[in-house]
Amino acid sequence: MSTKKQLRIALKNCGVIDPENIEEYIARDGYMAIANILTEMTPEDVIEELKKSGLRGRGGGGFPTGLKLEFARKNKGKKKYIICNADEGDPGAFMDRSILEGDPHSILEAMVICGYAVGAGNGYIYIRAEYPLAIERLKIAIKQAYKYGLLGKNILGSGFSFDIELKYGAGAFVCGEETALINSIEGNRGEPHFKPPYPAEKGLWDMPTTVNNVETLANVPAIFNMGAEKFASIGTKTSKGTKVFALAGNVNNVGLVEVPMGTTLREIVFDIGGGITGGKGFKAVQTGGPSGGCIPVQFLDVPIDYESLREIGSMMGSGGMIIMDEDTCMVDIAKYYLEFTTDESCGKCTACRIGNKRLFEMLEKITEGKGTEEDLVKLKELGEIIKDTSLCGLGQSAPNPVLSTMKYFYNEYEAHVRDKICPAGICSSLTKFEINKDKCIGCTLCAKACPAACISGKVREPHEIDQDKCIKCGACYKACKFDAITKS
Amino acid sequence: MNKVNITINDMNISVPENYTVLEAAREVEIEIPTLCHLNLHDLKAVNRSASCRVCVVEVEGRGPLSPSCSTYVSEGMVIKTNTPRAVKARRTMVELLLSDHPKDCLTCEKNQQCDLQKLAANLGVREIEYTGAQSTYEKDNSSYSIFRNLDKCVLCRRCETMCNEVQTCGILSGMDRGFETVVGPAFGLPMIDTMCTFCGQCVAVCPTAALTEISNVRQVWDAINDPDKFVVVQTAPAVRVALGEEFGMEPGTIVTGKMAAALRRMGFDKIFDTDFAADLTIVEEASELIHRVQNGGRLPILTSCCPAWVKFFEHQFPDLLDIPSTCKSPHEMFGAIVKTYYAEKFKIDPHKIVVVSVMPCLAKKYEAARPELSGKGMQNVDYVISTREAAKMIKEAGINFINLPDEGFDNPLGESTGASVIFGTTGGVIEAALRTAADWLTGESLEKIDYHQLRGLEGIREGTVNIGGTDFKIGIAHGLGNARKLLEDIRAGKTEYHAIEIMACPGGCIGGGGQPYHQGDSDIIKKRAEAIYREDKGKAKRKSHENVNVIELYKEFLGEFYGEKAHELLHTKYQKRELI
Amino acid sequence: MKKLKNIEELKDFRDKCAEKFSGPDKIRIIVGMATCGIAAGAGEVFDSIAGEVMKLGLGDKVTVVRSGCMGACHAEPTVEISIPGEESVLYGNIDSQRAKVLVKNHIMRNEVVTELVLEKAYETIS
Ligand SMILES: Cc1cc2nc3c(=O)[nH]c(=O)nc-3n(C[C@H](O)[C@H](O)[C@H](O)COP(=O)(O)O)c2cc1C
Ligand code: SF4
Ligand code: SF4
Ligand code: SF4
Ligand code: SF4
Ligand code: SF4
Ligand code: FES
Repeated sequence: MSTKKQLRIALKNCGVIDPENIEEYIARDGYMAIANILTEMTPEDVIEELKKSGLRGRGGGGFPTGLKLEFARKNKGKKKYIICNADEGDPGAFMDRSILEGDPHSILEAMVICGYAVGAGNGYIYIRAEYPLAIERLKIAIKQAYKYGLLGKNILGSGFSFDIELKYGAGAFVCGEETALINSIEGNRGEPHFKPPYPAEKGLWDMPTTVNNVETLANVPAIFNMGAEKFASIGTKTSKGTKVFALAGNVNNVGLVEVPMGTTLREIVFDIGGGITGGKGFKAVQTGGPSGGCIPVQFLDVPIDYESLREIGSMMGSGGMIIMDEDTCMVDIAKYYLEFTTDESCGKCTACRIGNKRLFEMLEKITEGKGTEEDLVKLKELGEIIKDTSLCGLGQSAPNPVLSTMKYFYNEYEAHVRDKICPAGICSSLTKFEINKDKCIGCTLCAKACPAACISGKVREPHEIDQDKCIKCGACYKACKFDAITKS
Repeated sequence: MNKVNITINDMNISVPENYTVLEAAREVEIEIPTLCHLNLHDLKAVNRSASCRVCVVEVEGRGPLSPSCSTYVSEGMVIKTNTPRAVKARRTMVELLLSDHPKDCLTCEKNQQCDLQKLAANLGVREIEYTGAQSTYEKDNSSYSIFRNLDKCVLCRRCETMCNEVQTCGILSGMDRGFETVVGPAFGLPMIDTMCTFCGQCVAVCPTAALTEISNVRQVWDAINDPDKFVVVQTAPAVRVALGEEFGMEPGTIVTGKMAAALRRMGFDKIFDTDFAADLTIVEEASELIHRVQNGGRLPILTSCCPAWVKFFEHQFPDLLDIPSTCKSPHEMFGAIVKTYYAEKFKIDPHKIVVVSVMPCLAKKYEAARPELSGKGMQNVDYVISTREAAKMIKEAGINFINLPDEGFDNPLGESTGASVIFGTTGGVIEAALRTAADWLTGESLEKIDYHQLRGLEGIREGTVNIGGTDFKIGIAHGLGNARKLLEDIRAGKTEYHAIEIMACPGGCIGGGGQPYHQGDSDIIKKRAEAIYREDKGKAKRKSHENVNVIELYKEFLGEFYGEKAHELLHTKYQKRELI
Repeated sequence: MKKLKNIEELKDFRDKCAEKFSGPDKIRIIVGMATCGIAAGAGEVFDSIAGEVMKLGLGDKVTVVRSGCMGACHAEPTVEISIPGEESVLYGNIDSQRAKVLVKNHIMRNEVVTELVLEKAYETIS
């Protein structure tokens, strides 16, 4: 590959500097952005510059960051707060953790910049307690920044003061939702409330508050260092800059990648990711975390940004990207994601608490071969109502994996309910193990392995599985050394 | 208030900018169903959890549907409330709720009084499309007052708002996640082990049968049917202005006479009136106030006739246990008098007497079981039934309540004055006490006895009353959140009152946890209050110390006001309780 | 260290730091030590490299850095060696044995250990 597909802005210092040494950060122009801002720019200038850069939230929603700060600036309040959302609840995602572990000062610097823009004097970093190393490095960074006068009172002699404190989350996925997060910091149950009021109007302790994602913040000092125009020159029409993705699943190069907005999925999966493991065929890629959608092969060449992903039934989310090969059962995948969101639902609203549970139960039924075609109609109908009616982003997106797989892999659903087969052979209730009489040499290994004792046959004669008794555990399949057992 | 122009179902209207879509819709007679929503304006109790999603409507330009109860109008907003999309979503929400609900309406405590049931009927739900697991939880009947059956909980969170925001008790909150989410005390504790005051306000607002009272109906029937027992019943002042509602009568209808008639027909041996004991309470409390004022005792004196309030301060303000009046609550005084004075006078074995209180209150069920409220191995009061339970019993007995003739109470414990009647509403106890204290302190019989400045539904009220040249500073709070504010000021030494009346329930006992369900309509409480003052006005005697039977009771039995015997029978003591 | 009082002091300090870390004779061996690297054994790799550098008396020339994630989770632990004036080289799947080889070959003999090289597939914004 000649030209490099990845461009690092948010990750620019990760893997380069020693995150526990502020001097290394400073050596690479660290804290220059805030220094310049404090000496030369008004808060309005800062907001204007961020608006010009086109930076949008990387935590999921994609809301323009400059605009968000502007709202919080304009709303009146005795105090104002900046919150860094480092809850990162998507299973398999670690973009934010990597930034915090590799470049904690960039987040602190960004928070001071936001604080100055909004007129806030206090910042909180809400981080999940399961990130001990990130917490440790943040603690060190905060201590150093105070020591050098880059946090605290009268930063760089500017008269502007800003304090940062860590708050720990217990790891509930929904606590990453901004209103739930604020509830949690206030010591209440971590459950969302209806917006409006948005945090920018009534946030922490009812004061104007901005909640920004880690990766969003990591871009902020870089934007001021490189200039908003340059940042805005990267990406697509609606989405500027880069996005960090955590590549996972059946792809050769799992890992963290940062690509300009507008890169295609094909480039990410094949050029950067090195293609599918084991030389298998590509089936789908899931973006947007547990409540994103599954994107099939025909969209591999769509340049990805906030809008295009939404159009094809998924979303940017925070940057999880899971690649699935041809052996994946899409019904099973949908069930897997829905199980996660159903468990992580805060349980507040009817649509999500009961609706998603019912969706999940229907999927269970289908994967067990008990589904009907009527269930498929209901599945879609209910999924859409849940999206339309839920209180927060979790419920509003939880049915996405179901709806997108139904849209693009409907034949698999049909196979499960109509033909009672799982084409990928994943749903164990629907798989059938059979012994190929031509290959079987009658070694009896399978019969010995079968916990249900449903394999019969004389030694050195082909064996047979009693399909009525078979519990589909697959023990025989694994035991056979002669490839005589087929799974379908 | 600025107005904004909105379009709702193609109608252009102008509404105040602080309106929700729901309020705006109601202005033009558009009904949007609700379930979790609760807005008791006058009591400042608002639940906006927006959790049920039953009220969703389409708002142009917003992606998903919007909950009308929590979406505020804005200039130019275009709303559609009855599109197929919105209607379908709303019905689906109800179906989902029902899919996780026992649906045993026929035998349910809340049958015909249930918001969920009504909702399903109004939306024409005839079958439930979705089926699946149903949550089941252990039922909590640990307390004397409140029965929790979370299988029927729809997680509207009204109880939580009431308990935490209005009452500031913090007993109930959401726990666990997903489908397993429940509302209850921390650590899943049974109610009896918490600092729940048993005010029953959570029960009063619960739309379903998830929270109801612990019923004593069976025990009371058993007692009535036991030929060996002499069963006397007493009725609290607030019951007579609310009981009629259970029979379809207008809120605020006074049914004192029909109530007495009904109780008699049910087979109670004597029909007495807690109002008698309320007069007794006033005589004692006014004496205590004057005693404290004249002897440099601790002020302010706090009323103590509300057991939820008593339990509240035992938990929350144990350092102030010496300021409440030591008077027992009226029905407890009544019980003590029946089992002593009355038993002696009419030569009845007190052990055979069963005292039943008909109360607007659930806390009194708990109170009746307090060990210190007893004498000679007998509880002062044996059973407490709520206004609602009384109505159920009347119905069970096949009594045509509406057409009953008016009857009176039995004597001597059925006599009462207007002062005792107003006990039922916030401000009433203190007004009654002032009527007596003023006469006593001035040595005159004053004509001006309507203390209008102390009436109303404002959460905290204060007023100064001049009695014979001395200013008495009076404070009144109803709702425990308001009570807490007053108490905190006292603790901090910020305020100086002579006397304070506190009622746990918003509105006082007329808004009690055992009253007919107001279903979220605070006008009902106002009408009950008006009825209370009407009943007071209509009484020949309106000052407690003029109750002839009370005077006789002291003469024949108790001796002095606030004297030794009175102390033994009519006063109690308080204890520090844990904060849990 | 005293608190930085204004932008000039910060700039001066930045220049000093830059010199300290990226002088013409400053070789950096960076070990990816985010959670993922550490889980894969980057701790031992770091110790091994640091030990080897000491043993070979390279302490003055070579700084061994504990850094964050380099992105190549599929090949953790990762090590990057940058010698002034030369393209830096990213290595993957390093263990403590291979770490020593890197120091000996790449630093001492200036020979890139080609079989362990990972493509550094990204550019960094300036
Ligand atoms: C269920 C749910 C979980 C979320 N989790 C996270 C999270 O872990 N981290 C995050 O930054 N944003 C998360 N968000 C998005 C936040 O609500 C919020 O939009 C974001 O922090 C705003 O920052 P941004 O504008 O910088 O993206 C979540 C949203 C929802 C609905
Ligand atoms: S959508 Fe789900 S997570 Fe969000 S408030 Fe409703 S129940 Fe809670
Ligand atoms: S709570 Fe309401 S809906 Fe539920 S069983 Fe009782 S009456 Fe029926
Ligand atoms: S009875 Fe009163 S204090 Fe107890 S839980 Fe209900 S509202 Fe709270
Ligand atoms: S107990 Fe009743 S009031 Fe409380 S949340 Fe459940 S249904 Fe609502
Ligand atoms: S205010 Fe009345 S009804 Fe309410 S708890 Fe107190 S005594 Fe009972
Ligand atoms: S009534 Fe509006 S969400 Fe429940």
